[in-house]
Amino acid sequence: MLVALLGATPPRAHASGTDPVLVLTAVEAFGTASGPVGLEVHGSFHVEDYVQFPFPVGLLVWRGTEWARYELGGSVFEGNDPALAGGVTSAEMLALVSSGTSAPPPARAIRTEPGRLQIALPAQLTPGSVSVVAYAVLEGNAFLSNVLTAVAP
Amino acid sequence: MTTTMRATLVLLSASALLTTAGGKGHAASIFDGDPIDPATGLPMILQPGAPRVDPGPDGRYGGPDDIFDPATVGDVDLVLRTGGVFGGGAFPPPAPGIGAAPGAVAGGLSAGGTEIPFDLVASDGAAVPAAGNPLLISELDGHGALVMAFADLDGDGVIGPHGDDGTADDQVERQEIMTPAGRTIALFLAGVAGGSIGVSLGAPASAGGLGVVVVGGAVTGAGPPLFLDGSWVSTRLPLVPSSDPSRILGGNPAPPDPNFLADVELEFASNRHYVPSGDHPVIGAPFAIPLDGSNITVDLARADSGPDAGVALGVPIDVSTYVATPGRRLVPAVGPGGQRELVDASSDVALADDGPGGAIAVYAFAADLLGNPTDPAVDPTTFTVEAGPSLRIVAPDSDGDSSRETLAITGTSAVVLTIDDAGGAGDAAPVDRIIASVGGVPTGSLRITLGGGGPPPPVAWTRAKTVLRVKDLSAGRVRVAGDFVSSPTSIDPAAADVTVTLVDGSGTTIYSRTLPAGTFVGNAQGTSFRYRDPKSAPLPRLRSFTVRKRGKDKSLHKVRLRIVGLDLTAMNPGTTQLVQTVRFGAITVSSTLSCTPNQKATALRCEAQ
Repeated sequence: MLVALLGATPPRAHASGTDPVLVLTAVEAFGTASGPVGLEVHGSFHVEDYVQFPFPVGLLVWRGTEWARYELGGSVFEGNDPALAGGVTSAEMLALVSSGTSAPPPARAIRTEPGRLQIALPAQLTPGSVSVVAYAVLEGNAFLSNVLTAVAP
Repeated sequence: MTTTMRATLVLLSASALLTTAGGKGHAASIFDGDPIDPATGLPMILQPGAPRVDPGPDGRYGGPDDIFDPATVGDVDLVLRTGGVFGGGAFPPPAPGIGAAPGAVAGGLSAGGTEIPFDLVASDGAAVPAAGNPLLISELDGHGALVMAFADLDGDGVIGPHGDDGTADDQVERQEIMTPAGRTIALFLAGVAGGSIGVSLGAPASAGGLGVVVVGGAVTGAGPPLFLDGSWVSTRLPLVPSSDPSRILGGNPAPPDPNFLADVELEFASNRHYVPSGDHPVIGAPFAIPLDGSNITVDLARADSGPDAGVALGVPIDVSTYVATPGRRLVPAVGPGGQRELVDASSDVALADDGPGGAIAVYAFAADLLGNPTDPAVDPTTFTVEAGPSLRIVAPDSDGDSSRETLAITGTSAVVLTIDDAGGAGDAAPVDRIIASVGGVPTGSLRITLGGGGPPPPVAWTRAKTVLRVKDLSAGRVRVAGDFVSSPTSIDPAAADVTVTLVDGSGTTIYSRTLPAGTFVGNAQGTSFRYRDPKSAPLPRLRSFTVRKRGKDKSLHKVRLRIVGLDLTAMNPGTTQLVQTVRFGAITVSSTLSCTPNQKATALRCEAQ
């Protein structure tokens, strides 16, 4: 129903409080003896909204130009984008949500909960420092959270 | 603390009924027969069949101006039906139980699940039939409706606290209200707001799924686009939400667009909403909603977990000591005995860094992407648990390696792990983890805090009194009483060593006794613990020793003990101070009391100042 409502309504300015509110409050890396590394990310991700209607929302994790994108629904994509070397902008995020290839294990979405996401990183992003941002796309606009960093073991 | 549920939803205002002008407007028929607020001349905000509950002029519950009026009862204004059974004629009855209710898979369409169809329909509130007659009129066209799903977490067949099972589990039943399973919006057209709702909570299909009640509410004003100039109406809800729109539309630049997206917040942590208890002295528990079809304004659904996404880790809660928290997420696991057990898989877990002893139980279970316990995709599922360097896996231990264990989950039943801190007391890192992996890929992680590497600081008694009967110093009698406040989950006399120590002002220990873990006997609710030495025990003898958890959140602990036959000859007879200490595991409660003798010098009364 809400999808139909969205489709029936023309795009409009985001002046009425309709913008997604994305916040990262903490990120922590954890490792396993067998090698794969996980990230636990706390914040606000619109999980309860996502359960009601599909829209592009998730986490982007990157180091240098290598990135992995985790959708709340569990899909994981990865790729390489030279533009990421200077950080990510909304415009770049719009391009990233439709690019990349499906990421093989160990990359995966471990758990999606309203205030917490757990993910397993792809091998090319470990070890070392990674940056994390939450994103959402609504009405053709990309919205980004603050950026946090974590050091993957 | 304010915990916010933020949704990207069409506007639903809880109404400005009592503060704005307006009237019955286009929705006049809905209010036929409704009681009028004498202060405003407007219809009161009432739920069908429920008494009037209002925070009074201050807008907050918990004050002397709260109104609980069982004589003023609302009629039916809205009726919700799930499963697409409403066809425009008379209201069909709600599902008689979750077995007959429409099912959905947790996650909604976005996360691999399914949705629950619903119709929220205006009613004329006629006394017969019980749900009234559908009011398929145009006056509500374009008005926003909020539809919410609440889950029966504890499986008792009721949403919210109720008195039928006592009050010991009220906090879990309040959690059912504070963490809805889903909420969405709909718009009215010809008296019906139809749509479908996804849920984020579920239980394994093989265990019968999770019972869900679906409810709804709507604004009814006449003035577009916000329709705030009229009352809000609802089906029966398990709570009484605030009538202040800003408590629902928090942080939203006005005016939000009701035809598109708006920012909706429900601040359950504030006392502007009435979240019922199970034993209100005036109204009882009328907002509890049974899942048996007996409430004709709401309907039921069954929520199954999504597909297996790997082994998750969580801690089973103690129902009797649990304290409800807005937004806290509990999931319905299947315990090792096949029974439902609620697990907190989202919160950090505290573990005392006290060396051997004081371990915690952790459940490992197959879970869907949202963390709901589910039926395993591969049965049995082999997984590995790894403990960080500050932790050890006490049990199971098949190979003597306390840092790693390979196990198997069979069916939906959780595997129980016993986790303790490694090494001795005060030597752990502040935070560590246990991690579950399947096929070498991590699928679950539990963050454990270890108390900063040392024992927690002592807790002071809020009230303390020790009376020593010293008429016969070789056979003194002692009464110790003390109250203190601590998280109910932090104190478990039955599971921890309990030590009582009395030291006089000169530093002489006049009594010390440790009751090993397992000595105390607790009641079924976990709120009262007692012990006494048998009469044949040698002196000094503990004649009675009780620990009781009191208060709404069970955080007030009352300790009482009596000792007979205590040799007090070593005590400084002129002492003016006494240190009264009781230690429960890693928690120490201690204060220094001032002592004065009675006139006959047969007793020494020591009290905290």
